[in-house]
Amino acid sequence: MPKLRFDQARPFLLLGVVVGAWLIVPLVVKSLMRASFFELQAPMIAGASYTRDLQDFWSLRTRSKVEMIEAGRDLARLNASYQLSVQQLETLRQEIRRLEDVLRLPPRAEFRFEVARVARRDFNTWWQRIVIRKGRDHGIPVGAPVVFSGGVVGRITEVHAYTSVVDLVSSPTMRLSATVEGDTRPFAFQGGPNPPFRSPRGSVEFVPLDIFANSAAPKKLVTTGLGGVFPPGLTIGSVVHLEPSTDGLFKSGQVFLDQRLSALIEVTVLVPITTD
Amino acid sequence: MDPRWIIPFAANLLLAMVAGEANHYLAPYGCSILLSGLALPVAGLRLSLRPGLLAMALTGLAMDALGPTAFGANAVLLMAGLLVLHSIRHRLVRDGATAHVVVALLANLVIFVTQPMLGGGLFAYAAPTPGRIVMDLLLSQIVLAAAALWFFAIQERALVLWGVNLTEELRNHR
Repeated sequence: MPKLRFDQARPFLLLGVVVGAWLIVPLVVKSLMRASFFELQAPMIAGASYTRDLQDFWSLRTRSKVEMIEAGRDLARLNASYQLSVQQLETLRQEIRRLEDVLRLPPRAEFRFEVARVARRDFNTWWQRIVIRKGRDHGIPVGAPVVFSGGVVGRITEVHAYTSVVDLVSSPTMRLSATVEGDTRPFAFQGGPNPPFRSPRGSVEFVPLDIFANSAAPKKLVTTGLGGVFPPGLTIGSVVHLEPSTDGLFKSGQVFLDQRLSALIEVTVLVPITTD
Repeated sequence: MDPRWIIPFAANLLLAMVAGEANHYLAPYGCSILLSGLALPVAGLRLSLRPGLLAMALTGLAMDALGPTAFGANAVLLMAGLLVLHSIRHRLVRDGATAHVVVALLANLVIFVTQPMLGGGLFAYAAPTPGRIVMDLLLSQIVLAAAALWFFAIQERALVLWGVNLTEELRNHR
């Protein structure tokens, strides 16, 4: 009887040994290696982002002075309206503090705003993430909420030296507590699925039966503030479809998110201010 | 410093950067490409085993560092793919372009469908629409087929310039 040959199986056995050894490597070593491999590629990501900014700068340089003057004038009008809103907000903020003192309520969470440029968008079939050009050096913590002018962007999941990774609200890995504007009852929002050549989507579950929404009369979806990550009242998207779930106790439906989520250039990280 | 693993690893990093930039511009259109299958053919069909394994391990770890997949998962997948290639490569025309491209397409397909299983429960969340899966896979395979010969030529030229004898490598198994 011929001898069995194991020489071809030897490399696979060696791979099995390597995998077994990898499984018992301490987590701190794996975390350090992961961070090292990310930082090895971070300069390429940040460099490409700076190159894009330079490209945009030189393309703007080709615009005529008249175009730039008109754009500046439009921005000045917008700035003036925002300055008025800021003054009104400051008045409201002082009123909230006064009421908190009178009623002896715990203070609301305060945030520092850290504006960051988007270095890379990674919107593949299975997840949706962006890499921003600020990290530990700018005091960004893991789990900090990220917003833009249209509402919620996502949450910081990884922080490195000068870059951070944000899990987008349209990613299937993102779940939030949400509610319809004007209501206080929370239900679950989850990102995805995102069909091709369409705006980002999400879905809602455990919606109370007395809430109705359709594409002709959508309902604005906002954060509840539960969980302590996102401040309450931030826009998530619009609920465009609701139907009773299979158990008949709640409704589930579809949410359209802001189209600008797929083309973000700049975001704001809300860094919690901790009072020691 | 052995160029037989450095050059494939450096080339794969360049590939990851180019694919990442392409995905950055494709994001507003709701589609993406995955070109990880291009990492295997040169290391699997033209180089000996040990430098190929090292290059695949480092490439896989670099891929895992940028995504939410479990760290080391893509490295194991690429190393397993390399070992499979090494065990069957005596039946393939190793210096032919067709074999390289076919291997890259098949490897890319396997890597694409296994991504959610490497993510520590990614598949437990909402699955993507079938249209998205088909569109991304089709786009990935088309771009891969178009870029394959250029990418392989870069690696082979770099290896030859750095003094690696590819004919000798074809004869070696270890």
